[in-house]
Amino acid sequence: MKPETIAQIIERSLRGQLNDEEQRVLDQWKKESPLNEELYDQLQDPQYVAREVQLFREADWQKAFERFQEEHPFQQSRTPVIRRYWVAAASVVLLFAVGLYYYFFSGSSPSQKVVNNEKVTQQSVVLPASRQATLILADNKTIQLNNAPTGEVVRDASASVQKTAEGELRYEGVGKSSNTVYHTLVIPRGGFYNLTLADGTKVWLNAGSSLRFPATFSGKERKVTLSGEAYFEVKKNKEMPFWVETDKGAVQVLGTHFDIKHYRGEPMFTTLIEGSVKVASEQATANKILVPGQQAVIRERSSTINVNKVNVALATGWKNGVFAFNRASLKDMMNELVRWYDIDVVYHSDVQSSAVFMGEFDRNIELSILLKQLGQMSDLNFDIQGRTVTVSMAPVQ
Amino acid sequence: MHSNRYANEDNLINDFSAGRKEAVAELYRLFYSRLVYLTRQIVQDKNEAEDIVSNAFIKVINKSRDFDNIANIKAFLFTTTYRTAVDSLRHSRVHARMQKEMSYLSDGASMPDFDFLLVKTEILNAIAEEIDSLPKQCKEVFVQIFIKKKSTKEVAEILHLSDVTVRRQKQIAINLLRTALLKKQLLGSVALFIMLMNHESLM
Repeated sequence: MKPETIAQIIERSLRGQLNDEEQRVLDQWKKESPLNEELYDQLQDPQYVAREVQLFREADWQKAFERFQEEHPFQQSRTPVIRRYWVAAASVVLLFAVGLYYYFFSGSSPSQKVVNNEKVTQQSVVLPASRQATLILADNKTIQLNNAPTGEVVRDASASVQKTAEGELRYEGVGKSSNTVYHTLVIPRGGFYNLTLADGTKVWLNAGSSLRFPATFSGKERKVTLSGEAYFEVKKNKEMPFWVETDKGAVQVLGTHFDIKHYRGEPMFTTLIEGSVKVASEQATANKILVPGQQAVIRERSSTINVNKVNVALATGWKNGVFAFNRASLKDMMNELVRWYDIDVVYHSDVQSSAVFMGEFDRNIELSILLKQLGQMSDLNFDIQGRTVTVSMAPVQ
Repeated sequence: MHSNRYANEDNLINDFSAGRKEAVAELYRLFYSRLVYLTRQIVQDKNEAEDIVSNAFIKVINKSRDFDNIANIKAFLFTTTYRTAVDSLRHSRVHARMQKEMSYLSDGASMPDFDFLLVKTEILNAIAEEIDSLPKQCKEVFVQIFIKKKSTKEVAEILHLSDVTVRRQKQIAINLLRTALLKKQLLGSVALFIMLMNHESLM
């Protein structure tokens, strides 16, 4: 959540002007960290407020600007004085470059605000992901869903598979079948897809993912297998617990909303939004039960399950069309872009990979626009050639 | 002295890219006090904080042709400022570790959290603006009593007002801020109420 947003909510709460929704957001924010809780308590004390406000008053912008003008008289071209000053400051920064931090604000939609008339030379335009998926049936027959017309895509003894007008897939049970038939939905890089399973469970699938699932559910449990990232809204059924398996662990569900993310070579993240889930590691040596607002993490070469409180809006932002990063490393952030835009990334050796990213970006913008914004907000340089992005440190002027 | 030509953000970004000093002044007006407040959460010393923020403005001016919009400038200003402040803090902790008398500085505390500091800065900024928009005399009385901790009599002297006027203005300020701060049924606000009541009784 943007700092300006929570600041407004807190300010309104001090005035007693919160509605229920805002109260929920505020409570969630307070729970996220003891720092938040402490700050909120401190704000109830007018002496504290007065003292802090005094710090603001002590910062006289007009005096500061006057000082600036005296030391750096305005000229159209850059003077040597300014350049030297900048170089001195930059070297201090580079000396202690471990743990750089970047933050970006999604205030205005980047695609609307390109004011400068720059020459935009690019070999090809890299578009964001679109609805694409391949459905693999039990007999290994494949169907490209983007080309399929609306209506029934395939039907067998147990289920009818429909492509809806919105371009989503819906499964409907049509009859009893003794065999469980499995289908697999594969989302390529540069794609995303939504589907509704035969029991009414809704699934959102992110780029580079695949889901293996029964065309209809029967028996004692509902089991699906996931690779990549999916957001589930599971239809409640106490008699048939819902399981999601990945090759790192399994999540058992009764009826609830949650997000699972496990891409090859990365940790497995299970984020609970509503309801209750039990997360078990692959060897079932450990398991943890989550409450809403929590995320379970199983790291690559481990089977320990760590549970943290998280901002669920950030963890599930992708489903709502945004890139949402919460202290993501440069590599994590670029991996998201790789999957969404179907690109490759090359890193220069001088790149500080300990950079940390926070904030939200619209997913539905062309890649060069997104990278231009990132470049402006940070010390990094992003160069696009075709479908390859090269990341390097920006030159010091 | 301050003109209103920047009601429109496009004018501001265009003027800034062209290197006009009115645009720079506007950026100072918009962001300076928040940047200094945030930096002082990290480095404490007022002068050092102001130096760090000035440096950030210099960097941003050097890059003035690179920015498409104000949000990007704001992001760059805040990240550069934060990073420099944290570096400075780390540097003084390293230094302190080498001089054992100052070991309290390097007590293993973690680096201040950027996200949290941004939130804190925005909140206090909003409150500061609210106080700033109190009626003039009212605001002066508020500042003297709550910030400078003067008694009613002292305030009357300093501001050349009668005791009655001071008390009245104080009451107005308290009422305005009480509706601002008190309505919620929180433990904290009850304590605040009591505190304000006690203060009033110290006539």
